Amino acid sequence: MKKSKPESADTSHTISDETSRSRVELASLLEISQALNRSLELGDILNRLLLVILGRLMISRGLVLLREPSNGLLKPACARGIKPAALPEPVLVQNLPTRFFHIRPSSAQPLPDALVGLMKQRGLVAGLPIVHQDRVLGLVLLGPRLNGDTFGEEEVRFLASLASLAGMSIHNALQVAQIQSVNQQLDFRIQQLRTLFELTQALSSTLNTDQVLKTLTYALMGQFLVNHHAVILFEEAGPLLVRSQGLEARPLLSLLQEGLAECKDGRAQMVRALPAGPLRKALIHAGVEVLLPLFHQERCSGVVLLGGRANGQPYRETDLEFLATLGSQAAISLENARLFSASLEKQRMEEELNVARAIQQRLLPGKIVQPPGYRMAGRNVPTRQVGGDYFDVIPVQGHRIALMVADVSGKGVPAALLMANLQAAFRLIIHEPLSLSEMAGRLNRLIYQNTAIEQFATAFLALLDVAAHTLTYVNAGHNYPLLVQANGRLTLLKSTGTILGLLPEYQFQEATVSLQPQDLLVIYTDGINEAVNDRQEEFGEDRLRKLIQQKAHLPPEQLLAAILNEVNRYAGDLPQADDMTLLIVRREA
Amino acid sequence: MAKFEVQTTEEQGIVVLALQGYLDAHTAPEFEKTLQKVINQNQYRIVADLQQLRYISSAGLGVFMGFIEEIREKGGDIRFCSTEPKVYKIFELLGFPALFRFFPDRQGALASFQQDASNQES
Repeated sequence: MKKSKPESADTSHTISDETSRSRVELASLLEISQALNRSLELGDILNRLLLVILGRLMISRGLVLLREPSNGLLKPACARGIKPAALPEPVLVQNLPTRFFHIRPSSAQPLPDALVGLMKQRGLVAGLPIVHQDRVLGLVLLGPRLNGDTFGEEEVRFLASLASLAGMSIHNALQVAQIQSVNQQLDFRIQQLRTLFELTQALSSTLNTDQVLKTLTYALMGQFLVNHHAVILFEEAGPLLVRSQGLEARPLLSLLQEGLAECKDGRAQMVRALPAGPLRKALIHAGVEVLLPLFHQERCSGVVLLGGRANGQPYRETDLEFLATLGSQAAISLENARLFSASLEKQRMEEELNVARAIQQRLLPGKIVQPPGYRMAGRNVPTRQVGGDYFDVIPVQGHRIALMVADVSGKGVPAALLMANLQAAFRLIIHEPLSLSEMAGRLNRLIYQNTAIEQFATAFLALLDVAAHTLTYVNAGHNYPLLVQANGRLTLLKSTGTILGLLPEYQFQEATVSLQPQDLLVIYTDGINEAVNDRQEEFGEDRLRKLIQQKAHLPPEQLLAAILNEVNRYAGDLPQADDMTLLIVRREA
Repeated sequence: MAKFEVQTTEEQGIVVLALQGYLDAHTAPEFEKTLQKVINQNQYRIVADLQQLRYISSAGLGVFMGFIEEIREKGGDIRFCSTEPKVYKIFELLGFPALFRFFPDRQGALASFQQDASNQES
């Protein structure tokens, strides 16, 4: 840049020294004015202003203080000959001088003490207010002149002109700086909104907890320049540390769960603003600066901990607001992910149960054999859950049919497994040359040895000889089957032993009844008589016996359907707790 | 759907990640994997060439924050180069230039690592 040169003084020799000095001064004013106005950058302007003054008046030290527009604090903006460490803290000074001043005691204007103190500490002796439209924008403070001269009238006049020139430039630069700062803040807000928008989209597009937390933490780390963080989820089983980097969060878990149990909203909190106590102490010790509860619908499902920002800047109020918005978004996504995974789990279990139920149904006889002179019908109605009922009809050597109805204790998969075990054992054992009581003894041992103490089974085992028309049976603690004779007489086939799987060694007794034409045998499980209605009243054995006596004339299939109909009518749509099994045998001729 | 790609090459013993497209919450996990792979191979001197990067969001920046500490502890660094002004503005808004070094071109970034190495030797 070409500098404007002062006109040379050779035009006239008659010009006095004073005039020529004035000319030089004017020239340098012109120069500084151009230089000042060339820039809108505050630092540039102040630097030039200070350099011109120091150079022109031969001063080695100078300090420019500017007033903050927001709070009026005087803040150092530019310095020469003063070490950075010696710069004053921002200070509020009332009644700033409006004209050039000197701190010698004889000064015409009274000076604020704070200002005088500040100057004396740094060897500054004079000051020049920078004024624009009657407002003091700041002060240029100057050290003593190195040549020992005082600030004469001329110098003061020069400085005053300079200050008023500078006032305009500084005012403009401040305006620009302010606009830039507003723009910067706007850009930052836009950036925050963009992050929020993007995150909302990203979070709502996943039902995976890990993915939600990853997205959230990366956004936080990028947005706040923070790398130390931890995420803790408050699960039913207790607090769970799911992500952690650079923070020793493990010792904080239970303190946090206790501390946040009473949290009422998802506001992010500065750790140092927390009430004093063990939680605050532990958090500070671990290096945590911000707590972000993941709060959704009255429930705090977890917390994000943030360490300090890598650039050393503090978190601001607007940061906390932003964090809270992100946190509530993440909490919703986490809740969705949780619900989704719970329903997946449920679905998976139901599918498994369906498979188990299908397997179980296949273990039951498909088509019931119909030996000559007899009619038989059998059915198992499983509950929604997998149950433990088992019945079987197996032809064996010598005109005999093995019958079995059993009810395994418990429900679900354990019961189904035991039922399958019992079925396999019975089908194997039934062809052995053993008496029925011996078979019952073996089944008892098997169940006792293979299962936990609380698992057992009631069973009715029988061998029907369709030639001799006899029924030999063992009743191991099972509901008494009903034998209805043609004349309507009813006999109960009572227990001949205890339930299977209760005692390691047990001697079962067996009994035999003979069957007359039209005799009817009904074997059932307690799902029938214990079916309940909406008043929690059981169907009951009496009602069942009466029903059977009434309908005894029906063929077994129809009788079976009639009983189930009646029980279902009684129970209505109520889901029943237990499997229902019926096996009906009638001697025809 | 925003597309993101990253190409990993090695120049003068320094890993160069050439980022392409949009690095945001959707694509950040993919970039994370790439960076993790580099670190798993004990390579800690990394230049991120952003010439083809069109956009970066907080989540994308977060990936750099997530790894930088470990990388520097191991004596390495991530240095950026060839950043488009629009993209650089985002880095600047969030204060990244105070923590990371940016270079106008790839050569400059690579040279800065070589410079470090020769400084250490001398």
